[in-house]
Amino acid sequence: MNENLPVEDLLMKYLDNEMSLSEREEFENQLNANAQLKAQMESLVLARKAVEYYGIHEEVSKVRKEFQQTTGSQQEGKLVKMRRPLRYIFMAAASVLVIGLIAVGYLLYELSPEKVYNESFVSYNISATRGTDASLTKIEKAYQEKNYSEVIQDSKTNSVSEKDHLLTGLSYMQLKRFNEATGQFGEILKDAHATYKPDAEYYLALSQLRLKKYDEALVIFKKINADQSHLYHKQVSSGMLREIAWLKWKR
Amino acid sequence: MSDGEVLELLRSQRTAGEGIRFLYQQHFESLSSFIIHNNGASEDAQDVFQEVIVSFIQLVKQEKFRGEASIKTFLFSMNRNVWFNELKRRKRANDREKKYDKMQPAEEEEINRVIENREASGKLIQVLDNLGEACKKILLLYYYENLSMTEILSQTDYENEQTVRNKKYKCMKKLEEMVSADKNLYLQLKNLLHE
Repeated sequence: MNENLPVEDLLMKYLDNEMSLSEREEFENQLNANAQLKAQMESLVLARKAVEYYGIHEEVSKVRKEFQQTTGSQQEGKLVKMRRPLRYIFMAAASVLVIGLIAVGYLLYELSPEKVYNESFVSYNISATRGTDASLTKIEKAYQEKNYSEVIQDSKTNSVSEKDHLLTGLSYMQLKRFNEATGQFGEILKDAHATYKPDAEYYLALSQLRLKKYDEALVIFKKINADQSHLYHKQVSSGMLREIAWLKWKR
Repeated sequence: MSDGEVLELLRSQRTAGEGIRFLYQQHFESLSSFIIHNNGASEDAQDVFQEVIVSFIQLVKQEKFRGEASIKTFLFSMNRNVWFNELKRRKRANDREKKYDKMQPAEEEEINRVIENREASGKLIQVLDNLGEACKKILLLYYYENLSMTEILSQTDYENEQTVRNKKYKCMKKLEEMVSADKNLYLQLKNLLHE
């Protein structure tokens, strides 16, 4: 049945599935018997697959172009490319933030009542007294000589003036006996018009700070910070208040 | 649209366009982002995505995509592999000293296969373009769109069906000769088209 047709036609008919079953079987026998014919058939099959591949390629290419036009993906590409420098800026900002947080974390870790105390403490100088008495009392003398134990001893045995309470309180602070120090300052503050009220307030607050009584310390320090006429106003900064607040949170 | 529905669309030439559009809408952004975040340009992302979709459709039509992984996973994996191999190819091209011994043989082979397939794809497109518009059109209408001679006649300016048939025959013969003329090209195309 295939005899009348040139072999080229047969190859094409076979490729295009235009043969009957018997024709197919006959031609397949021919193919199996003829290596050159078989090779030619394989080339044709490859060519057909190439056309199919090209068709898929063109179809996808068409959709790609449509997609670029409808979504503006060329612009999107630029935007995506633009995001890269923006990404680096964000990364840099994030790095700065992380470093900042680490620094703050470290400062917070290092922050302690002692640190704030040491930074804020001002030693009391007897020569800067507001009193007119030129001669020093026993307690004053002992304090001036930094004999803090003697100050404390003397305060127990003798009647104590307002100033003596202050010096005794300060002596307790020097010996890190802050609880007892607060008692001394408390005595001064019983009198609302005490001469040494500002001093007592300041050192009482410092003692409470060392005792980690942050709430009580903050009440006094905030008052001093808000009152520009307070003797110790310059010693109590907003930064110091912040540090005490952090200490409170840290606890 | 489910994966099954997408595959159905892709299998038929008449609906493949819709399937391709769906794949672009669903997956282009994530796949292109991957490339751009891995030292690729926008153009690279578009080229690779197109290549991935063409390869994927071929696999689907040949019933070689088994569906064990989702389409999304499969495309992402293909996209990643093609891109990483492309990066290696570029790096190798830039290296003054070719240190093949530092690469694993299997890795080297895979890169070569990907490179050859990309080259083969380019050559195939070139061959079809060299056929001329008339031959290209008739062959695509017949072998890609699977139109009958009557349908092809209505879309072309030929006199009758026999003329169409003769033209198609001549174009196919010409293409077959071009494909088999160069042994190297022939083998490359065989690999590309999974023969």
